[in-house]
Amino acid sequence: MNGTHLLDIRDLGKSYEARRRGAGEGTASALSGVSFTADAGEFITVIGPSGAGKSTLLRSINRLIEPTEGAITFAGRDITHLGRSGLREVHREIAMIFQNYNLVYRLTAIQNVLHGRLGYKNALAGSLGLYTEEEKLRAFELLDEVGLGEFAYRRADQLSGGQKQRVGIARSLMQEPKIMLCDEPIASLDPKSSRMVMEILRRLTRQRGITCIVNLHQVDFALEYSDRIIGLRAGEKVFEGTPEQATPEVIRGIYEGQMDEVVDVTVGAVDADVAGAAPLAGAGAVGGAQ
Amino acid sequence: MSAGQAVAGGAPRQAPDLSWFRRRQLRTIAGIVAVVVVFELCSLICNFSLGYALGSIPAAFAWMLQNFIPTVESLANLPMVIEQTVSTALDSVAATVIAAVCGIVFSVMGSTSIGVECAPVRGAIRAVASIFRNIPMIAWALLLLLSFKQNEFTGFLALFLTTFGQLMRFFLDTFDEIPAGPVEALRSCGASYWQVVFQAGLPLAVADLMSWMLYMVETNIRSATLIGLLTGTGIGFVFNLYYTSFRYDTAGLVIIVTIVFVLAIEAISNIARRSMI
Repeated sequence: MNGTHLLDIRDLGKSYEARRRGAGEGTASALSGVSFTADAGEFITVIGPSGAGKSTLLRSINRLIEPTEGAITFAGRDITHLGRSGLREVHREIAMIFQNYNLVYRLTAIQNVLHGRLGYKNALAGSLGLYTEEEKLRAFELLDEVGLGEFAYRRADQLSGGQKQRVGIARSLMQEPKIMLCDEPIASLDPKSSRMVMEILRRLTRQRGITCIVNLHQVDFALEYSDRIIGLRAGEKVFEGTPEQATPEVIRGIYEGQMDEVVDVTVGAVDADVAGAAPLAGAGAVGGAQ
Repeated sequence: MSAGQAVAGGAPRQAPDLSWFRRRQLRTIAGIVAVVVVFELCSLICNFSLGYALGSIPAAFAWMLQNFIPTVESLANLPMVIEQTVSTALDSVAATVIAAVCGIVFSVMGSTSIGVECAPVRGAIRAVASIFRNIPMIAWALLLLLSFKQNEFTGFLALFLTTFGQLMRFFLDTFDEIPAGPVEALRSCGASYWQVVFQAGLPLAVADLMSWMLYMVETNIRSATLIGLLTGTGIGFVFNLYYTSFRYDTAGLVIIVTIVFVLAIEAISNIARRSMI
């Protein structure tokens, strides 16, 4: 069974040592018992209130965060306990895009796109930025594809938010990924740029068969673009189904009554942030869905 | 709008506490008084008289103007003075640049953002940097004089060691503050440690690193003059030679040439800085 899916997540969990003063228990759980599978070309969105564990889930899949329980099988290979070099191979094929774009803002767009090749290059060539002619031409093609061909030599910090995110997408495509993990890719963008980015992501799933797993705050976008929606609440999966199955009642169930639990499942410094943001984010998203 | 919401919320609005402003003023006044009292106390203890010190400034300047204005004969020494100043300046540029290269390597490893994963190693790097920094340059020069004798290398080493310590402090701060996002992004692409350092760490930090290095070049040209007094080399030695033999006109020439050089270097480094932003 495991071999048939591109990605197979089993009982994934992440708990932190509680370092807070006065905390009764030894650990706090940010994610627990999450299982799902993903196939090539699927568009999956993960929704849920702030602090529900969406980011933790996404970063546990490529082990930027080390999960403490469960197993991850990617392309038929158990990657849960891979060492450094094995993980590097996996990282090439699992690309990531971020809410804050995470470009090296002092470098040009084309240099940022070429960073997608670093996983394939030896330490010296990668460090010095010595790319092959094919790689450079490929980077230009990808920039053209996201509509930024003319901005190749523009420094990343001179681009708009939407343009930066498109550079981020081009960078991840440079990796020739099988999966793209998108952590709130449109949370900092205006509606028009948001739609553009979502359209590009959907095109990638349809035309290239890349699987997109997207954390989203905007439930309306999730309903419009997803093949499948996963609802997280307090670190647990509470819903999985098609956009048709995600009725307003279901959505409200994912977002409602989370304040107390949200605070409990997170650790230390993030507490205040999460407690403040959760009710707003929840209310906004539910409002958008109706 | 927020006021409207507060009223709508039904909470009775309390009279604002205006005495806060008065207490704030009193604290400022108390602070100023404290500074004056401390100054007076210190002056009393070490027999310092502000009035006398200020009063003697005009006479001191008049004396300097009379004696340190380069005479026509002293201009014969100008080529030698310029040559020595250039040599001292180049010495301090070399020491600073080499210290900067070493500083970058060690502060990358010691930084919290892209440093080595072993915390004790990072701590050790920071501790060593702190030791180098906290031994004054003059103390280094005197220490090194014992083993390396009076030559240019002694001054070079003294400059190098203190600059290394200073720059490590600035560089560590710079690397600690680079944004975590791009570093995470490159790691997620499968970039190796050194690839992350060269492709994210350095590009994000380079403008600040260069700015600090240029600042140290400027300061070191001044310090090098002072160190030359001790090590018997460079422009500092020339100044000392003429000063102690009462040939103030040439000593004044040395001062003027040094000032011109420092200003020129500052201007150049400002241009360099602006072009890097």
